[in-house]
Amino acid sequence: MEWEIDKLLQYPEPFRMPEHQAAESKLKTFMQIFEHHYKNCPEYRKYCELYNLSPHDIKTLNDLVKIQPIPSDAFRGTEKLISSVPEDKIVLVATTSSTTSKKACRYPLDADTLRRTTLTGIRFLTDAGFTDGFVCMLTPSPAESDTGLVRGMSHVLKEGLKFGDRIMYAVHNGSVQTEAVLNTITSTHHRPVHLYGPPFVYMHLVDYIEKHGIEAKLDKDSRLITTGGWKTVAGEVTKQELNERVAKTFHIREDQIRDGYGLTDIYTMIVECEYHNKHVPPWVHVSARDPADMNTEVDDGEEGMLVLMSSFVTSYPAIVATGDMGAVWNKKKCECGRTGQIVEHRGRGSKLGARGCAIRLEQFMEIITRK
Amino acid sequence: MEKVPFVICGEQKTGEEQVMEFGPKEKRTKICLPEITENDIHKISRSDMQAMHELSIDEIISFYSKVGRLWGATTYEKREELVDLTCAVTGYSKEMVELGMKQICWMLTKEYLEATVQSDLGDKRLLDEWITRAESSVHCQPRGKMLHILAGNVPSVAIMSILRGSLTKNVNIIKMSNRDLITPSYFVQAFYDIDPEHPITKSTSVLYWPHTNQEIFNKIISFVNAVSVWGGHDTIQETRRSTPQGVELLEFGPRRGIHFVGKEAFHELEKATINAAHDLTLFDQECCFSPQMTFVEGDADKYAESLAKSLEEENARLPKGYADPKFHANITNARMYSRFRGHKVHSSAKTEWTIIVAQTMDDLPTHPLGRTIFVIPVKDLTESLNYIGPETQVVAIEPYSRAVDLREALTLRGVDRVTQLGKMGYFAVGSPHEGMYPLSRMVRWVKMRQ
Repeated sequence: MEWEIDKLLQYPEPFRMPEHQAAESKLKTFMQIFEHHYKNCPEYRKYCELYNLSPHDIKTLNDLVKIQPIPSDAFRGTEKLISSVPEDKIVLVATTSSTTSKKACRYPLDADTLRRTTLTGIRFLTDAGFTDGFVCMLTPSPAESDTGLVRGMSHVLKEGLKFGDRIMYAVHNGSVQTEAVLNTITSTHHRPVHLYGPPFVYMHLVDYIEKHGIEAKLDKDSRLITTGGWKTVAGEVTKQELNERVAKTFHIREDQIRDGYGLTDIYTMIVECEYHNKHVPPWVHVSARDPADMNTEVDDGEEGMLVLMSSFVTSYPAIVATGDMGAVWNKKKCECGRTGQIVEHRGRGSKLGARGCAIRLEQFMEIITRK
Repeated sequence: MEKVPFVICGEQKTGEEQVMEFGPKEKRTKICLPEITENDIHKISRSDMQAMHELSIDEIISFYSKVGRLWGATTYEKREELVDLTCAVTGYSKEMVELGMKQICWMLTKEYLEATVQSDLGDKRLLDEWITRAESSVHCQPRGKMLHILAGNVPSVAIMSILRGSLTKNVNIIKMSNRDLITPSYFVQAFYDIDPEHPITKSTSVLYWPHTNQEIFNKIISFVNAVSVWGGHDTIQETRRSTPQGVELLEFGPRRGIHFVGKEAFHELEKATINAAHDLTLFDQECCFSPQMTFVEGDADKYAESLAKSLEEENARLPKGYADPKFHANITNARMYSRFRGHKVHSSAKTEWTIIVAQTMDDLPTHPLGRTIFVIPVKDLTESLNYIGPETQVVAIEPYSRAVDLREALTLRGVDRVTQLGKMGYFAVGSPHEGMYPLSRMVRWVKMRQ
């Protein structure tokens, strides 16, 4: 089978694809991937039938709103994997952790999906400026962590972008090796030095450097990607404050700091441009739906429930409602010149949970389990 | 911009130091509150406990009856203001807030107040006199200063807490919730309108501070003698952690309700589902008594279809108000999850109500509240007992004749209240609450040997 997505992934600068070409390509890839999941994932087909939806209903880009997303919780802890490929094609079952549930989400991955994951990773990291030099991952190593944030990124850096041993991991046995990190990033002859990791580790480094008056200059081409959620630093520092402090500490411009929206449910990431806009690549479609009516999209820039769709994941229906709230711009122009959708993540819907003094069901289940 | 006053020992205080916004973005309501100063705290710490103690219980009941009559009068100028602002801040519809007002006025009748004291303490004279009991003379002394940490989800519950404090001759210090910054303030403002010099007026304080401001909490807790806390898991845990030993702590929440529907209910199914719909609709299911699950003995789909019709009707009578888009998202997410898992979902056109029929308890979504019920079929209602624990405050049973056989098993598992469908939000006069008679814990039982 000839996959439209493989043609799209050959395009050298996908973020700058002419709009008409991107639209045409997007429609072809999403029509094909939807049909694939509809035909090959029995659970998804049954689900679509509840909404009287079939591949014949997807004819234009405007029809993508008809595609029903699966809530990511549905991938959580199921004994039988939700899969669109035969069992013998699955080479890896990826899991994602969660702060709200003890059960991890499980996603089956086949070789084609993994190959394309690497390719899309190369595309977005190259676009972000991770082309050469040295990467300090402000995370544990893949040997100590099985999260997509660590393993996926490490794989793309090592195998895709050939960083080889020009990568270090800052966290070992649960603690940040602060002095080793600072020593390496300031002394390595592989330049520029890039950083990648969660905001709280950046905070830790900045606090340490400020406290000890250390000089830690990075390079004019360094990129510092923050990812992994802002929850742990919420209340302590805003994103803007952190950016200012990081820029000052490492003697870099704020446009070198890029926040990454990790879409672990669809195995990719959207990284900010130099103007701090998150440009959606053409192999991903993001839709902000009316939270009270999933068949309707909210207007450009309005907050809605985000639905994420990937056209490169063939092994499971990567058409997911993650519970994230956010805004999407379909028409907004960015000064950076990149084309396509822009998305802004505005937190989780489920975070608010129950109000008042009604107990939450999961608390109830915990109580029952304890009995 | 609405300035909502604090009340410091009967005196109103306004300010703009704390500003909060509520409601949809096209119609935001800005609420301005004053700050709490050292002087305010000092004044509250010196509230006149003696004057409260010298009031007779009849005088207290009489005062609150007047408050009830005032709030019941449509001519009282603050009433409309209270209803409109409560709608804007809580997001509840006007119909729901009016229902809350009715509940409040009913609680403020002489009959209700007398019966509450009588049933909680056994003899209302204990508050004024020394009463002989066996070999002792027994008397109820107030604990002193009582802090009420309110949840804000149900207006009448806030008033219930305040009433209990006064009926036991305690000095009330009321911490409002940001969920309802209106009802407690306005309720207490009426005291001044009735009698500015009354000991209850002069000893009552209403405040708000964010829960993150531990400093204010610590200052106030240092001089209070009892705490009545309402709310979710985090609020209760935090209060428990911060309340010094020796301070009486009364906890209310978080808990939930459950519906039991027996096979006999199918003879008058519509009657049952009308009542069930009312329980589910009341204060948008945010109460500790709100049903979150129904165990149905028999055809769960048939029950769900009838309930869907009843919920549609009840929604017209008590419409849903405004809720943050995130709450709608939670409901939508639960519906999608359930459909994907093969559960049958009955729902309104938007997110007004949702019924999820699942065959087992094993694979349910996170409960989003917002008038959502999980319906589980069982062969026999006794099967449902496996899912009952102390987190369940109330079980409503239809037909009610089945309750007698189930009540022992239910209450042994931790349930505090067994009632009928449609009555979950209405506490019978004289009934205990959360497994206790709260007034009996808001006093110190003292004695003198005969």
